[in-house]
Amino acid sequence: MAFAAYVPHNYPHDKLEPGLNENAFYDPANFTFPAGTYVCEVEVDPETGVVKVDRWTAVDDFGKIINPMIVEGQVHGGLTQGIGQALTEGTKYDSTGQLLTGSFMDYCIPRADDVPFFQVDTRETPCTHNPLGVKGCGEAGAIGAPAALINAITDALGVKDIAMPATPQTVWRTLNQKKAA
Amino acid sequence: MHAFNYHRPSNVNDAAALAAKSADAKILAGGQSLVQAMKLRLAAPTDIVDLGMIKDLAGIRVDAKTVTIGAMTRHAEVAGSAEVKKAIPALAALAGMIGDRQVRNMGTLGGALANSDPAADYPAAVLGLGATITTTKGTHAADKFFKGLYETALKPGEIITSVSFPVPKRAAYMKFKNQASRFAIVGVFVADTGAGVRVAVTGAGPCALRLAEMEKALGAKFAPESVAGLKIKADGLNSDLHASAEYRAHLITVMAKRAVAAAMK
Repeated sequence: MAFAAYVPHNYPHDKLEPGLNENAFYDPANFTFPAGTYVCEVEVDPETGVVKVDRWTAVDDFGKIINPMIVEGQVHGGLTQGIGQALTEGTKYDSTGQLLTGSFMDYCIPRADDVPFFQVDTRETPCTHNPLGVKGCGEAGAIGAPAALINAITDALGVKDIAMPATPQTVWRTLNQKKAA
Repeated sequence: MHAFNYHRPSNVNDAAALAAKSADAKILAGGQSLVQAMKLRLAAPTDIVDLGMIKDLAGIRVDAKTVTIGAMTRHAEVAGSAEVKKAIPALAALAGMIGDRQVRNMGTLGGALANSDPAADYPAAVLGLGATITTTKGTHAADKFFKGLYETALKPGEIITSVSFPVPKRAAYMKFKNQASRFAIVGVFVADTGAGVRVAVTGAGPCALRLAEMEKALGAKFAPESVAGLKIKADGLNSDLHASAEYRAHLITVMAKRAVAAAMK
């Protein structure tokens, strides 16, 4: 039937359009609630303000995992995105509204040597309200990473807060303000 | 990119003659800055004189006192040269820190010097080692070559042919990179030469500059602590979205101190 709809050589074209369509909408009973814990260790160079992310462990509960390799890759990507948000990525405009960080020469997307090797692990508590027992995974790394990383930096500096992105200059200024206070 | 006339001369005299013909001619060495500027239409030369076919402009020659590098020698070649690594390891290391692999395989020593980008690495080595720049019209001492932002002592149509670096007793280059572009926010080249200590800075001012105060302190005693306490004035230093003049001034002292320590190893 699908083939007849796709190659409609003897269709009654005046009465019927070729092609076959069907729409369905899945309305889940509830959201899924993945959870995880990230631990990161940083080294701050107090003279330059450079933050090096040394070690990272991420343990997530994504419910039932069907393809572990894809899940691990998703976590790596999310963590890297989160590290970028916390350390390097910031948009800046001048007083006339011109974007100053308009290219990757000025807007810093983290590269492989900006991130550590990640230790990634999972725990499995199946989701109870979908037939597969799965939970969302794509954004987990990007959500947890900035919090873990900024907490590590504020702990290292002995301050309560630091603005993202914690660029070397921002870290250096924060240390100077702390010294002056 | 705007349209232009493309020339590919086979010797440097023809290249100089072609470049002198039009006031808006540009010389293409590695193209890592010029081509980008043309693509953005920041540069619109009428004529491009490509030096790529002039074989004798590239190559490295090392003797006991001098490392001479042809103007069209790519950064990757300098970075990977066993002879340069042995004679002036700091120079090979500096070349290996420029841009990324793709840039280092195309970019050239002569192109980098003629462009005199305020954040380029090579000017620090040229000034720090007191190199001599040979051109189609004569020679320039490093101290008189860098004149300002993208400005050098080169006259229109004058082409760099080679650069001679005197071999120092010890030297090192420390670079604080822009996170995104990996250009130098501050780069400090320290050299202990037969004729005293030289300290050259790139990234911080309109062009590469020397620091007399640090040279004097290191001349008295070549040790990190000689410069660790020297505060650099922020007046006149570059300030942009990546680093304020104050931060750059501070980084000069830190990088100088680390360069001295590295040179002593």
